[in-house]
Amino acid sequence: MPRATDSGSATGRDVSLLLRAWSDGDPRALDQLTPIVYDELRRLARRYLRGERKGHSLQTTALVNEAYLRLVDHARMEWQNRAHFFAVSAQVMRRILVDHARRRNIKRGRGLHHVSLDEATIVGGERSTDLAALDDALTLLAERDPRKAQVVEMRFFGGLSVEESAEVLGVSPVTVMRDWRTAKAWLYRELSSESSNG
Amino acid sequence: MADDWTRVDDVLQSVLLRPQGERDTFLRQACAGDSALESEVRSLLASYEQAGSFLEAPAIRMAARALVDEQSAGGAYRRTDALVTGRRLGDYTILGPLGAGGMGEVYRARDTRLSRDVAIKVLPSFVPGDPQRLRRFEQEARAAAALSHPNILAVFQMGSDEGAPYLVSELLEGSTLREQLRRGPMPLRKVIDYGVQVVRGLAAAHEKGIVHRDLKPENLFVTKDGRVKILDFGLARLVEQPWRSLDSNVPTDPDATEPGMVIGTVGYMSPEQVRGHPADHRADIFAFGAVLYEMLSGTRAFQKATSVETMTAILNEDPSDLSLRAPAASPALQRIVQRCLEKNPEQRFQSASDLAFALEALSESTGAPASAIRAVARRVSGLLVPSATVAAAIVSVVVLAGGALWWSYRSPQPAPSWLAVSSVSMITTFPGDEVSPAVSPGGVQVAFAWRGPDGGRQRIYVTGIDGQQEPRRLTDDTPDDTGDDFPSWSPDGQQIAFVRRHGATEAAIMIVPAQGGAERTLRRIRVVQVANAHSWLAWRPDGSEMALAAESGDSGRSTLFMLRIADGHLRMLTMPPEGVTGDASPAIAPDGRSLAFVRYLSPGASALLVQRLDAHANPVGEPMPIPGAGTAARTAVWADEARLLFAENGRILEWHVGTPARPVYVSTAGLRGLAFAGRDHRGVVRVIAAQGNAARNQLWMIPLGTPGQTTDRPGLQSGFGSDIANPDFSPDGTHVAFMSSRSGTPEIWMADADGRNLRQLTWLGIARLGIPRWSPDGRYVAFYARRPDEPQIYVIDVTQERPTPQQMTHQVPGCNIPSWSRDGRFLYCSRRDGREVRLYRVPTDNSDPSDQRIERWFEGKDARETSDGRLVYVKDGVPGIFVRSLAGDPTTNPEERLVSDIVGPIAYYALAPSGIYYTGQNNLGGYVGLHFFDRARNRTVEVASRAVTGEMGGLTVSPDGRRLLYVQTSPPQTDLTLIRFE
Repeated sequence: MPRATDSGSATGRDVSLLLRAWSDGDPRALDQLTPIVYDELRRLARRYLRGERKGHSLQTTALVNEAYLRLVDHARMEWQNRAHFFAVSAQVMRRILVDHARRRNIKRGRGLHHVSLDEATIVGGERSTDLAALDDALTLLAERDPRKAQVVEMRFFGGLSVEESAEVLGVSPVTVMRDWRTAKAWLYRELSSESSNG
Repeated sequence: MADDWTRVDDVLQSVLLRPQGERDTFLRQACAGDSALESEVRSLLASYEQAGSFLEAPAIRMAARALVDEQSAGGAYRRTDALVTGRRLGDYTILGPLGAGGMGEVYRARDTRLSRDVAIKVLPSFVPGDPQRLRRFEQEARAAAALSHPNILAVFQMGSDEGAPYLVSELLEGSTLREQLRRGPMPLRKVIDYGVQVVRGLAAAHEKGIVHRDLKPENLFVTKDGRVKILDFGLARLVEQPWRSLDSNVPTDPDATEPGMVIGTVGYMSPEQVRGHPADHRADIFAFGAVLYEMLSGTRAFQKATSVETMTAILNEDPSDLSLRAPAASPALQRIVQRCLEKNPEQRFQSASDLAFALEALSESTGAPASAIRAVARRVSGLLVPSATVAAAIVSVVVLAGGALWWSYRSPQPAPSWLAVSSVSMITTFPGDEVSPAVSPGGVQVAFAWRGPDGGRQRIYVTGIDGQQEPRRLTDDTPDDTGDDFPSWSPDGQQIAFVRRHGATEAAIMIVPAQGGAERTLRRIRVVQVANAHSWLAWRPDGSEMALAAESGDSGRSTLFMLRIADGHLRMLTMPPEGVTGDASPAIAPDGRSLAFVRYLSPGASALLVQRLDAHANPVGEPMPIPGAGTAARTAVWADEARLLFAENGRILEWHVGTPARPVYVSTAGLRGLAFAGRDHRGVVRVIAAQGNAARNQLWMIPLGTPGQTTDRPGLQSGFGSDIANPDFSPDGTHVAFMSSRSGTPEIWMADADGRNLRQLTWLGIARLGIPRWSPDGRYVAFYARRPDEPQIYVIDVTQERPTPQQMTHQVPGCNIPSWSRDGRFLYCSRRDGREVRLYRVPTDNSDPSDQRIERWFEGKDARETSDGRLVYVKDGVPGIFVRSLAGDPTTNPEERLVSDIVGPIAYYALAPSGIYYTGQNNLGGYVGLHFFDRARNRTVEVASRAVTGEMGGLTVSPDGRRLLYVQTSPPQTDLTLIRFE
């Protein structure tokens, strides 16, 4: 797996400190983390544009992994408690990405009865999941089954592997996979817009 | 609540551990009648199965993709990191981007030395992490570059730019085959033309020992003058390793593999590549077969929702029957495709030049005589190694001597003419399994075993081969039997012999007049259990005796005997060797001189043998195995004295004396019996198979009198087939549009209102699509399709011969469930906005998609306009049907709820002149059946209450309100199918 050699404007150490600050209750830390994640997003997006076409998905997969590494991997070393670090980084990622999506949704949704071109179009591929709607559904799932919601947070938002998620939650990888499957089914149903007629 | 959830979770997990086919049964058992639990798990299971790649890509990736769309719409980031125009690369000056090819960005460049324009493909720089692999790639690419062939892209040079290898090649103008395939299946002539070119290119490369390994439509380029060029020889190697290493990082669950990673390629991989085994040139032949299949049918040979499922299909499944999906393709061409797609490389064409020869023979006369293929078959037959198990090999050794004798005495044979499927139709579609068909000597009637309409003990029934007669029950219940099976007509057609079982090891051979009457026991026998015997009895042509399988003494071995009809005397026919389970399923040729039977080596594995008989039906020599038959051949029938048909794993194979057997029919599910029904007056060979069918959606019609009142029982509309959903009557009531997956993927179809003149309207080849709705003028059909992933509304013009779907909703991602305004100027659709599903209205004037005025309305879905200017709709997850006036601003008009007595959401509804027909769910997640809401009386009545139960797949009412069509789902079962061969 490719590792990032340059860590851009924010060093892993910065990210690590900010994450710690946030987990210690400092809300401003999130404000400082947000642009870092956004930078990474934009960098990813640029690379996507280069390699948009099919056959390049491999490359973009590697890029995604790279993005997570750039954001958090380096910082892992700085933390005494890996599990705590994973949990915090997944939460932060969720907060930032969902806020980002909500802001975009608001931008797109202006005007009550009319949706015009420049406000629309999230289309294709894996883009269909509305992160804001997913966030709502995940909150509902947490009421019913907190651990399953956490598994989704770890894996989907935090980019953690099954093993890492298991470590954070103190359960076996098999349990994580079980939770993942049920959560996936439940969330998909919750978000599916086709209900009985689809 | 928590406990319920835990149980749901547990059951769901256990179900997911079961293979797909067993899930349904297991689920029913696990829930043990707890219908609420079952329906919840079922619902989650369905979601899980649909979810596919949902959540499998990390969130940041999705966010980045969304950003890409925004940015690229604004033009902000267009290819900024890419090679800049004017940049120099060695002797080349970049002139501009050409697009992205198979695995890299492609630029147009100027060769300053030779003053010509070239194409430069830059490969991803991260790949060559290890220099050794890069060297190997260079070696191969150089070798490929050395290939000079008109059907292979000419590579001029290789280089490397900041660690990214690049290739300089001839500059082509045209499009990839993938782009051409977007328009659906291709004309036959073109398919053969392109096919021959590709194969010639492959042959040239293979001769030099170069294998492509990633042949697919994306890698086949068609120039403007119709020349096909194979691209990217040798490049597949380059990316082989990283895939694997990344894959191995993916933990435990195959579902968790990165969805986009290999999906583009995986559909063309050969089984050996899927298994990770070394692949030789025959992998290219497999891939070519898949491409050929796709050119002919317009759909991929192997395509499932996920790459893992696709790979599983490549390993285990045959693609949908090409004769159904590309009826224009000649049987000869279909067989070429089939030969290319054999799972076992040994059974494919062994070289591209053989394949080229076969294809060229077709191109010479597109009338397609099979002779050329046969010639090739003869040429390659020396290379064919029948896929026999060790056990079968032992049998061959045992029987070789006698067999060889017979072989030489029968040879040489004239070249056989192989059967080719011309049509398939259903004879019976009764509830439960109809098995063990047997056709009367005149070919008019078919006897079969069935448990009857009420699921009692299995008995013998007779019906017409045209499926038009009510089945007639022939055998009676007795106090101690366990059911009847294996009917067999006497040669004079007067009597039917059958096997009456008494437990697992005892049976009686019975006989009964074919017209009905007293049953008579011919002989009690002991039987040996074998797997899935499809036949038991075989009459000699003179009617004096019949062959049957029975235990030989106390040997524990099943042996074939001849039973004299007159007195029940038995004589032994075969002598299965020690250690095998024994012989079963005899079939006697029409001349009475050959006996085919199944020799079970173990209870589950078998060989198909042929025994020569003398004029008195005594064995001559030893039985010989049929080449090409595997270890699962279960029954055989003779079409004539030198042509045998047999069933194996859902396929029907044909064998001619002197040649290896080959498949002539591939069904989607297993076969449980085969009967030869002779030739019809036009010489068409008819075969009846008891064929397993998946759960079916069938269309039923209820004739309506006064609103809400039926005038007759529901009638099955068999003309529509058994895979139909979302029916919609055309505005004039003459046609029905519907969704069906009969071509392999869900597509939109239409037919006359009686099911005649079936016509496929789309060839999108995607996993999710449906809900066709006619425009008010009857010219267009709107439907939704996830293409690739998000639902959008498309419209086709059915007056076009091959309609091109036009996307109607450009700015409402996720829009679904279309319907038309009565003036045809708008389409309604709905999408989820956060927690609720909202109705949208989109103008159909699509002249400028960038300025489409979309109206976002209130909560609701599946809206229909009424003739009196109101809008009827339902809500997602909310019981009831709602209505409001369309006058003025509909969004501010008051909403009225119509059907207030339903407790669950409405599943389907249809407007009728004086009310609304609907079906929906009760509070247990079950179904309420069909109801009619009478608007004038404001009350609800149940319609056809006993006939219509359970889940429906849609309903529609004719414009005059006289006919209601609905889709009812029935469980998987075996039915009798009539297969016609030309």
